Parts: sequence; C-alpha cells; structure tokens
Amino acid sequence: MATGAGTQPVLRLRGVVKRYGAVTALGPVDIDVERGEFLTLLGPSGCGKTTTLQIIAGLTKPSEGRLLLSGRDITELAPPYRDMGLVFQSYALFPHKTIAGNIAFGLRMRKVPKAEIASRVGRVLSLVGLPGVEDRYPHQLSGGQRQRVALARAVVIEPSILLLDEPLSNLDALLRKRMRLELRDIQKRLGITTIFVTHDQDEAFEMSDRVVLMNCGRIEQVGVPEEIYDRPVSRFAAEFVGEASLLDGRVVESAGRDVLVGIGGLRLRATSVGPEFRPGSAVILMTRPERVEITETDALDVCEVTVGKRVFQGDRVLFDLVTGDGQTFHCSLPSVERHRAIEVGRKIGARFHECRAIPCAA
Amino acid sequence: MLLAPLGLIYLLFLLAPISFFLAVSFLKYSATQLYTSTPTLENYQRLLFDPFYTRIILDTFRISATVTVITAVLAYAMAIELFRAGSTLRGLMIFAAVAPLMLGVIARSYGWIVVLGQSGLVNRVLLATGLISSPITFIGTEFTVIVALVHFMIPYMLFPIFSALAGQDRQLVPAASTLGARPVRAFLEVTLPLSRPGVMMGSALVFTLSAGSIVTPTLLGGRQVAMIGQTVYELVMSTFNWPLGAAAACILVLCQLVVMFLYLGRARHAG
Amino acid sequence: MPAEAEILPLAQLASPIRRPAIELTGFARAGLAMLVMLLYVFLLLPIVVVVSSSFSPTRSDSYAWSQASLRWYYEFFAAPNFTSALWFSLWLAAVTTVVATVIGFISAYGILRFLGKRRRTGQSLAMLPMMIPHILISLSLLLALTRVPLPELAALVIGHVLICLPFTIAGIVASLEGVDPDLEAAAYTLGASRPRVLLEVTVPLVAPGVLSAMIFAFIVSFGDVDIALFLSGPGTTTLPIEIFSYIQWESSPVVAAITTVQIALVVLFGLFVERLVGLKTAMRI
Repeated sequence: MATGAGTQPVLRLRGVVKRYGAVTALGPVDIDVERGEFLTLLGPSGCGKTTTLQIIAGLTKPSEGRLLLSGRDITELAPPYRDMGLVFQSYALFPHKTIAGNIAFGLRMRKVPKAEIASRVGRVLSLVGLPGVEDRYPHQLSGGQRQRVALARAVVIEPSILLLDEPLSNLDALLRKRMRLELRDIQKRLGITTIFVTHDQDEAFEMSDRVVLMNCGRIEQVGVPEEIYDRPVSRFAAEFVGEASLLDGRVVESAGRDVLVGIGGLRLRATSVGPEFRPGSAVILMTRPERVEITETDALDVCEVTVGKRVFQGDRVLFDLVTGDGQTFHCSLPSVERHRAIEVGRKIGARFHECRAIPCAA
Repeated sequence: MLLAPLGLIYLLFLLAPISFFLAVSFLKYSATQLYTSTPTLENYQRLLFDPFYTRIILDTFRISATVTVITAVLAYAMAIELFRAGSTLRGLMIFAAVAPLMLGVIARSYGWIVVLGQSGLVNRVLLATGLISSPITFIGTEFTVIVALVHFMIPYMLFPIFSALAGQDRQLVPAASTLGARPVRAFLEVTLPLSRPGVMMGSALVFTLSAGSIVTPTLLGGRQVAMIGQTVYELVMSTFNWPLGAAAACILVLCQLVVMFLYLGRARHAG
Repeated sequence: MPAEAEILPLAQLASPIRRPAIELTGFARAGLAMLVMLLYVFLLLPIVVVVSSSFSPTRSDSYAWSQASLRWYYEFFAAPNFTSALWFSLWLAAVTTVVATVIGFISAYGILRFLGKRRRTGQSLAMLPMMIPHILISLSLLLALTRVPLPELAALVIGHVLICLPFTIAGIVASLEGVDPDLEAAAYTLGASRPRVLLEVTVPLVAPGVLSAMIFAFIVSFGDVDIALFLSGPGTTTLPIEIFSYIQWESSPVVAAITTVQIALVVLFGLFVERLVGLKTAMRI
C-alpha cells in the first residue's frame, strides 16, 4: 500500500446519502481513499456501488453528505472540473471519432497544445499495449482493444483519481483474467489512485489493496482482502466472499475473543471476528470448506460426522458433512486418493480449523 | 425545462384555438357578424335534424364505411403477398405502395380524373374493345370517390396489417397443420384472428381519414357527392357561417374520436 | 396403400420450421398473386397515366411517343400563378422545416434525457397534432385570426409547423435513442461543458437522423392540403391549393407536368433519405 504515516486521504466521503423519493438507495456512507491505492467497491447488483461511483464522478448529486478531494469540498462541483478519469462498463468510446480523437478529447478540453497532445496520445497507447491504432475507429477494434482505449482515454489526462465501473464485465473469461493483471500493472506503474467497482469477488481480491464490501446501500466491511476473507463481520460478508459453512450455535464458554461454541452435540473452538461474546449468546459459526481436515484419530477436537453428498471437481472433492443433529458443513479436500475413496454414508472424523464466531444479524 | 417551447406552442396554437372553435359552435349565427355571443344549441339541432344535413352525415358514414371495408380486404391481400415476398422484392413493394402517398391528394385526384374522365384511359379502352358504345361518366359519381379514396387509403391500411402479420409467431401455422388443419383452415382460425388488432387499427385510421376528406369528393364527386368535409369548407369559406361550420366540424371530429375510442377499447380487450 | 397413406403426413412433418407462416394451396396462391399484381397496377395507374400525359402534345392524352412534347412543362414554368405558388410552397416548406426541426430537437432531447419513466407519455403528447384532424387545426387557427392581430401568413406557418412537429420529434427521438447516454457522460467527465458535449458528441451522432427528419417535414409541408386549404390567401397560396383551384375550372395537362415534377422531387428526396439513414429506419416513425 502506498500510504505513509500522516498522509491525508486523497478522497473522503462523509455521510453520503442518495435517496430516490422515499427510497434510500445509498447511505449513509463514509469512505477514505488513500493516495495511490487500488480500492474496490464490491457487492451484489443493487448494493449501491455504482451509485457511489457516480456520486464521486459528479454524475449524480448526493441527497446528503460531502465529498472532499485533497481537502477541497467538491460536492457541488460539476464533472468537467473534478479532475477524474472514468472508464464506463460499455467503454463509451465516441464512434464518430478516431482512437486518437477519442483519447485527445480530454486533453483538448484542458487546452493542451496540439503537439503535446499527439505525443501524449502516442505514449499512452503504448502504455496500454496498442501502439499505432491512432487512426482507426472504435468499431474496427475488438472488445478487449476498446477497453484499453477507454482506459487510455481516462488515464492520459493524468487525473487525481481513476474510476472504473465494472470495466471487465463485457470481456470473455480468458481476456478478463489477462486484463486484471494488466490493469493492476498499469495502475502500479502510474501510481494513480484508483476506485474500481465490481461484483466479482475473485477480481476484487486479485487486484485490490483494500476492498469496500457493500450491501443494500451500506458498507458491510472495509479492509484488505485477506482480512475480509478471514474475519468476515457478518453472515453476508462470509457468504459473499468465498464459500462458507454457516451454522447457528450458542457460546458455551468464552475467554476474551476465544469462544467455545456448541452446535448440536458438538463443541467447536472459534475466534470471534470482533465482539467479545458472553456465554449463552447466539452466534453464527463459520468455517471455510478448505479448513476442514479428515482424520482417523479420535481426539477431543475431532467431530464425528456422516458424509452426506460427494461431488468430484477435478482438483478437489467436495463433501457435505452432516452432524448428529442434522447440521451441514461444507468441505473441500484436495483430490488425493484417500479423499477420493470416501463414500457417501460413511461416518468419519473431521477437525474444523480456524472457525470464526460471527454475530447474528441485529 | 426543455419541453417548455413545445408545451407553449401546443397550448397557444393548438389547444386554445380549438377550444375557442368548439365554443363558437355553440354560438348563434348572424348574417352581419361572423358569430354572436349568444349561446345556443340550434347549430347542432340543425345538423342533426334537418334532413339536408342528416343526409350528408349518413352519406359520409356510408362512404367511409364502404371505403374501409374494401380497403381492408384489398390491403389484407397485399399484406399477405408482402409478407411472403423475399426481402428485395419486399422493399420494392413497400416503396411502390408508399410512393403514391408522397404525391399529395390533389395530384392523385387529378390522376383519377385523367384515368376515369370522359376521354380518359378506361373509357377509351372500353370503347376500343367495343364493350360500350358511348363513354361512361365516372367523374361526379360516388363510385369514383370511393375508388379514389380506396386508392388513397390502401397504404394506411397495409402497414398496420403487415406488422400484425409479421409479429405473429412463425410456428403457429405449422403447429396448426401438424394438428390437422389444412392451409385455408389454418389461415381462418389462426392467422386471421391474430391479425385483428392490425386490421382494427388500419380500419380506424382509414375511416377517420375518409370521413374527413374534402379534396377527393370535391374534385371527383361533383354535385352528386356531399360529405361533411365539403360542407364545412363551404359553410366557412363561402357562406361565412362559422357557428354552423364549427358545429359540423365538431360533429365530424366527434365521430372520428368515437371510432378511435372504439378501436382502442377493442384493442385493449384483444390484448 | 395403407403404408403410403401413412408416409405422407410424416413427410409433411419433416421440416415444419422452414415453411412460410402463411400457407396456400396452388390455386389460392396463384389467385392471390394475380389479385395483388392487379392491385399494384391499380395503385400505380394514375401515376403512370399522369406522367405520360404530361408529355402529350395536345390536350388529349392519347398520343404516339414520337409526338411527345415538353410544352406543358414550358407552360408550367411560364405561368406566373404556378411558379409563384411553387416558390411560395418551397419557401414555406423550408421555413417550416427549420422551425419544426429546431423545436423538435429541443423537445426530443428533453423527452429522452429528462423525462425518465414518463417518457412514453411525453412522446404520445408530442404526437398530439397527428391525432387531431388537420381540418380542425386549420379552422381553429383561421378563427383565432379574427381575434388576434396576426398576419394570415403567420397562421399558415404555425399550422404547418404544428403538423410537422410529430414527424421531426419522432424522427429525432428515434435517432437520439441510438446515442448511448454514456457517451455524453464520458465527454462530460473528460472536461467538456454541456454545450460542448452537444456540439462534439450528440449532434454529430444524430445528424443523419435529423437530416432525414427534416426531409420528411419538408415533404409533409410541401404536400399539405388540409391546412393550406383554409389558411392560404392571395399571394400566399401553396402549389397544391393553386392546382386545386385550377382543376375545378379547367383540366389541362399542365397539372400533369406539375405533378410529374413533384414525383421527381419526391423520388430524389427518397433516394437521399435512403442513402442517409435507410428508408426502412426512417419509416419506422
């Protein structure tokens, strides 16, 4: 991450709300964006991430709240003056202008002299890997190429902030994977503060310095990808990011953050994701499928479960492990012989590592 | 707001004048002024009860209805052929159907005068083949007016019917045929009923346009044919009887609105 | 025997999807085709006859081709009443087109970009003049002239603009719909002011559609009868009305010549529209 101690966040959202009539679509939302970081707004459709981006760009006015860019209040400022580069999901390349014309557009609006425009256009096209296409038209380029041109157009004006609205959704899977790396690479080279919007959790994790997880217009959790994956603060966060087994249980014992959770006949050790739970409180026990170990030994922390379902997935084998009282754990094991040999209906011992205790929804 | 100019124009130049016009139909006529300010119903009474005018109104209806039915049948036939045609032929057919529209009603009426006149094409052909011994007078008859109106209205009927046909699921008729329906049956039971909305729309449009026609009956109908449109023209431009003319125009518009509402009502049911 | 009877229906089932949706047996098919051909002859007959008689050397319309003459065309262009009516019609159509297009553009933009969900209502309301019989429009305007001190010419222009507006608005809306609003947003975020956005992005992209809407408006105004019938006056008579008065007293092939010139103009315009936007798209109004 590019934050140094004492640097002010380059963008701050304070109490931003967006209402449509009686419906509150977004907010209140507070976000700090650090200089040079790659921040992703992640969430399902309708969670408010695109609305947030539009408010940042100035295309939508917030019903309440303020935006501060490098300390300056830009809430009332119109988009042309915000010094931001926006890459649209549909790329929005001007069909009647050449690639050079498209990229030069922002430079022309800033009254950059002609000679300089030409050289900057050339340089940015090389940066995105498309040298020499200046005189072509958008319809002559492939989807992937158009996407790079859209990026070039937004980046050539050297904005304070680069905004990307699901720019990779219209690409096929292979191209998408490649573009993720290239995009991140370009961002790092330019050191440009970037806000990225996506609903794809893998994408968010692969590319971001930090992730803002959103749901129903509010921020669910903010943090580095590992933190969200390892310590999701809610049921939604646990389920949206990766696979999870979520079971309802009760705290039997607690010592600070460490708790012992009772589920049916089982007793499982877990770490709280945040609050300190008191014995007797209801919690959600979360474990990730890859953190389950099948064992023959008979130790205290080994639970006896019955194998419910079995799905062979090539490099992994997936199982549903059912407890004595009917609760189900999802389990994902490497596809080695002794795992592949496990049959449905067999009783086996399972050890659940790194369980987390999540508060039930308020 | 960007829509202010449009709203203003429609309000000032469309709605206001029309309301005023409507109001005048309820005023008393005077030979010395265009209209007085005495409210009365006598204009409408005259139009609806004086046999001279009732005949005109009924004739207008009769002619419009005849035109509508004939046009519907002919346009339907054309729509079927249009539908079955390949795309190049179809483009040509559409253009040929629409081109006459762009000429304007006067030019086309003149065309009919040339074709059906005393020394016109039809008469000359009939005389030459010996089918008749002296020229038939076409101009000045209701027949000619109907022919010319049908000629004028076919494009207006053709396109709604054609879209209705084109919009049908292409597999319905093959499905009917696998169920045992022969082509004519399939047409009568599947295609025709489903195209009804198009036929209704075309009919409403054609009826409305025919009822309001002025030029065609004037040029081709002569003394024999009197339709409401011509009456309005004469009342306003020759006699300067604005109240009566306005009432006649309002009756015409009312009938057109009724037809439109009937169509819209039926269309909602059919959906 | 039974075996063959069974095979036949199965063969019919073989390719159900390829068959045309309206099936006709041989007899009906031939009959229908003939009927429609006759109909096309019917449709085009007056036009053909008129064009042909415009070249006739005498008043009668039967002549041998070797005798074809342009005398009626000369008479048309020499007749002051017709030529001044022609110029007036052209002038009127031009003025109407410009006004209807400007207002149409503003209104179309407003409808598409600012009405959101109420867009359909806005579009239907914009079509108002098309739903009102033209006689009513012109009569009302004529009547309004008795109370409002406007020159009759103004009422004529207004009447024409009114009947052309639905065409320009519908045409420009259709064209504008094809312009991705993201394009305008992109230009905006890149630093262009709103007028700049219109100039550099919106207008160039809708130009072909606007042009074809203008041509439609021109044709509608030029060919109008219902409005001009009541609002024409001495010195402000349109060509169709001039012909109308003329025909009621005389019937000479001069009218045929004028009509043929009109046909040529319309065909020319039609070709122009086809090159710009494609007739099919333009007619989706």
